[in-house]
Amino acid sequence: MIRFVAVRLLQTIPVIWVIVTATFFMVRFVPGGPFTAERAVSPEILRNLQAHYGLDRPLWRQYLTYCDSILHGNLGPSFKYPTRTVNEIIAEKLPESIQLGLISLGVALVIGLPLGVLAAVKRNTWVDYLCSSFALVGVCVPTFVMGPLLILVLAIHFGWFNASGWYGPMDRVLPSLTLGLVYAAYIARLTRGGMLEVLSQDYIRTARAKGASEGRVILKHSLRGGLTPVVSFLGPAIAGIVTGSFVIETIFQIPGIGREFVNSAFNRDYTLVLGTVLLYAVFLISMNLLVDVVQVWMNPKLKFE
Amino acid sequence: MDEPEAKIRVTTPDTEQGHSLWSDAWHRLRRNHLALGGGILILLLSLLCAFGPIFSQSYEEQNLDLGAVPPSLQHWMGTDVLGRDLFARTLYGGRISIMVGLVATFVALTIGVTYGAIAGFIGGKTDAAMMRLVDILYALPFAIFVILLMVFFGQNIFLLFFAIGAVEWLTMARIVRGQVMAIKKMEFVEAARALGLGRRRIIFRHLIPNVLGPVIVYTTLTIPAVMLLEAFLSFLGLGVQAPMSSWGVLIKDGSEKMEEFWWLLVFPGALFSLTLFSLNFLGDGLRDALDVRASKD
Amino acid sequence: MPTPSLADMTRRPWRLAAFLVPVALLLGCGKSSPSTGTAAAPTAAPAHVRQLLRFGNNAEPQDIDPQVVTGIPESHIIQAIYDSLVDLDPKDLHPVPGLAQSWDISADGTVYTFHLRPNLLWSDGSPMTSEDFLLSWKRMISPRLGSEYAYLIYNFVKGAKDYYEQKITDFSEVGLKAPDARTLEVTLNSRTPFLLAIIGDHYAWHAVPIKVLLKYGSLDDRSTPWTKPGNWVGSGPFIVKEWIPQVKLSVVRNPYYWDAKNVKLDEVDFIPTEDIPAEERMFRAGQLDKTQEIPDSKIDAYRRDHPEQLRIEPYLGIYFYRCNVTRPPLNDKRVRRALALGIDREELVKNVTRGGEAPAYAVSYPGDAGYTPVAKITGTREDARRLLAEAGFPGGKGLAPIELTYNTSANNKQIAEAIQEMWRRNLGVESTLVNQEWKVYLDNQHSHNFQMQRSGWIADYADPHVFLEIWETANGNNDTLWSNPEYDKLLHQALAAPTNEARYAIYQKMDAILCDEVPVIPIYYYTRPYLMTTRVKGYWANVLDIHPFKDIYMAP
Repeated sequence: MIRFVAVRLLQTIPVIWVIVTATFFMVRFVPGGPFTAERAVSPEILRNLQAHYGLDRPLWRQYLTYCDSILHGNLGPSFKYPTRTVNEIIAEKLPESIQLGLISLGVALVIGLPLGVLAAVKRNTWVDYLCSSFALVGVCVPTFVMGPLLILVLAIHFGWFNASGWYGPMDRVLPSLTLGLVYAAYIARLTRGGMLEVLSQDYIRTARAKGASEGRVILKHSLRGGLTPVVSFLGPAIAGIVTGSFVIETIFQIPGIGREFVNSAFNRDYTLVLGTVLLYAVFLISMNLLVDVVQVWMNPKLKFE
Repeated sequence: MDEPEAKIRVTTPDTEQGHSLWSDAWHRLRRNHLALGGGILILLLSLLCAFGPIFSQSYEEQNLDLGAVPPSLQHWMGTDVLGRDLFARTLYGGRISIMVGLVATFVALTIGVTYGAIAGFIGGKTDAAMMRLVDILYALPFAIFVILLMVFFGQNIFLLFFAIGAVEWLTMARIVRGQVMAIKKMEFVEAARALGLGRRRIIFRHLIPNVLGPVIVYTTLTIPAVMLLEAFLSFLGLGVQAPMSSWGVLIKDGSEKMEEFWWLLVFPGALFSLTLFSLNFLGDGLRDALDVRASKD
Repeated sequence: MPTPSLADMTRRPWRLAAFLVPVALLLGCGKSSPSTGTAAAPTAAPAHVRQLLRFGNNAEPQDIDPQVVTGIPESHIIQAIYDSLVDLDPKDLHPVPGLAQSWDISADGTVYTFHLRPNLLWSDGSPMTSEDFLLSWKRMISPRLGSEYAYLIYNFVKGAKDYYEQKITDFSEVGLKAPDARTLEVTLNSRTPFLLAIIGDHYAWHAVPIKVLLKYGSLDDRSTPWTKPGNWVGSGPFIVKEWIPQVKLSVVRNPYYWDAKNVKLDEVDFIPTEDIPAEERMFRAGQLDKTQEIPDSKIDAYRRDHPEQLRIEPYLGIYFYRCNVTRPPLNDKRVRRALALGIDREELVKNVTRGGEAPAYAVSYPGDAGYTPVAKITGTREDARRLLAEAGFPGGKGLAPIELTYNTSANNKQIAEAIQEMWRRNLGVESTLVNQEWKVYLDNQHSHNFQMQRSGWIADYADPHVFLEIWETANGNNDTLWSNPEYDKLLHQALAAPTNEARYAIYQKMDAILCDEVPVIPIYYYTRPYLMTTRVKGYWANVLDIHPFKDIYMAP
């Protein structure tokens, strides 16, 4: 397994390099730049601003300078917020997003897994329909509807929570519930599907025939195989959830990094775009690696290749 | 003395006709009333959206004095802020959303399943390279990608399918790959190999049908996600242009006004949810029907 | 396992329930809870009311350096933490002494002499002198700093533009002098009657603490850390206490402020509320005392249920459609005029925008510093149709659809859809609507890659010059490619006019040209609808949205 992980880590280097390079050039070709503003900027000012940020040098030169600075761990100054560097922005905001993401993930797993398992075990009974329907609520009510709905009912009508903000522990509840319900739906449905695949296998039949209790059948024998699709899905899903959700962070006023993914693109804040992309790539690759390792552990027939 | 006639009726058993996987599946699906219900509902909704607008009012005719009135006999779903009939707009919106949902998902499905199955089956360095490419595409900033597409290809609505398909196939590929890797060591695959079947045949005729379960489930979840993604893309300028609308955009607009003009959210949202539920139950039925290991009882 | 029959389904309406639950919640909510108003505020002890103003401020501020920022959210914060030479009285916007206790204007109006108050201090206790102002202005027009509002100095001050364009490099040749520690002398190119209005309204002329600045870099270095909490020093009634990005920026009393004894608030929290519906919910939950905006759909609800919390104030700005006059058919002014006449503005502001906006029939803002344009783009539908026919498109036939672009926003979309329908109904003219993402839209504007686009202009200061100067040929914000030498000449004549009456007479002529040529189609004058609790006092409405924080206080 060590060899497997090591090889994968080596592979990440070219992957990250391609991502950074592609993104670097992509943002430069999009119309509008960091200084495109409503008020026309005079050519002199534009020249000076570009000189300050090194944008007046040839593109390949800028690229090499940027690669060099990344290797030294410096992601550059933000274009939109002149006194802050990308490193600072990420350092401030990432922890909040991770916090929100992990709690939401917890909510999603706590709700989704049992619902999915139950639905699979009691397939085609009213239990199945109830669980599946409940899970589907997370998909058919989008976050930008669920969020305000929860706020209106729980925060404004009952007054149990703040309408927005990220001040104390209570403020974690509504956003993570909103975000968690969506992922719960996916987890529940994929779990149900995966479990159904496994539950109809012969070895399950054997276990039942040998007199294993239903609980044992589920937990000991089926869960590992049944969760395969969920685990595949969770790889990129976790990377996504901890790097924040733009919608949730906007509705609930959370100072997370999720907003910056979208806003940096809209502001053409080149360095911040690259910084957030790099961040996401690192998370994504780590999570995919983790997921692949877990897949092998869960399914002994697989081997590390 | 006569021997009593044997009371045992000896019957020659019907030789079981060899059924293909697909006809088997179809028979099973037909018996699943819930799934059938879902399928019929989807069909009805699609027909309603496709042909309903011929009989309904105009979706773009405004009546500024009748801005944002609740449902009435004249306007079954009420009107929007510009006095346009919401029922008509929802039907037209349905056309767009269902079409986008189905087409884009189909594109994503085709690419994703094939890609994932090949990667999973072949394994080794090929799999590694293919999955690294998926990682790269995953990490690229989507908003920038879409804006670039519009720069090079204009604000074409067909670009919408491409943009969405380009993003959705990635997770599909990962899931399929995971499934394929899990089952490729199973006996039936060994058997197929032993029989000397070519790789392509093994992948398409033996592996893929067996991984369809999670794929179908994920597909039924992808379609609504695609419909909502379309709303985000219209924010960027890609997709239907005003005054035409789609469910995603109607729901987004409605959600901002949901306290004052609840019908703007509830009706498009209800239709959207209905589609989703039907799809999911249909999907469940399909999954059950295609499950080769399901007992025949 | 037996599959369910249809009968089962009807007997078990779980699935129906599952998605009707959110619907029921929605309907239930609408009836039982108030959809407007603030939650019951805890009754404060009558003796002491917490003097904290929680101010919804739209976006996270880019920075708090007045010579680098450009936005409105930043301007609110800057208003609290800096003072200016000249302030504006919030009731009628006339100039009142700020950091300058008095000023003299020469007879020909080209030399302003400002006398600073005695014993002015920065918020770190160090003395504020004229040197601070002089060097701040030098910084503002230094090309290396790249300040986007530098033109508010260099357009008017003698030699400043040359210095900015580096035609001269000796700052002493610029008309900005500090004869002694408490005197400042500004020499202008020509009479500029609105100079005090600019200084009072806009932060371009603010002073920054030079000694602090120089600790972190040279004068024209951009993005030095001098504004970080702990380093920053200011001149206003409040100082920055805490700045948590995307959460809040709080300011507290500045004990060194020259007018500290008249400051009533103890603290102001600026909370960046990017999502407008979320902001309204925060207000309702009692988390904000004042919002920046209000969702359109809520305006009527508040008017009905809590009119005392709803504020709709006229705002010095105009919403208009910009024509690219080089693209047919918009190259024909008859077509432009017809399109302008084909819009039913009363209908639009009454039923579509609903924010109490005033329909605009001219480019200049009525009542702006006492000037009201007489010329208007008025006419009947028949006039419009006749013009269209004269231009060769009777009944709209033969006219290719007009491409109308707008930046993504629900408001812009609604207005565009309404106008599209009006043109179709009134003129038989078809149009296609295209929405573009913000920067793409701006890029297209500046590169003139559009046929007709939606636009808006908010005034930087209160004077008719603001709206009229844009349409000069050389102005970088024109973007219509319309050029009228007579108009340009009049603009310069106006600046040189000896009295305001004479100046305004020239402006009337300019407005007449704009109404005749219609390079842009005015639609409505902005208003600012927002919410504020009745507890906020010492607050007066004005078209510039200037509300000096030192006047505000909270009542129980």
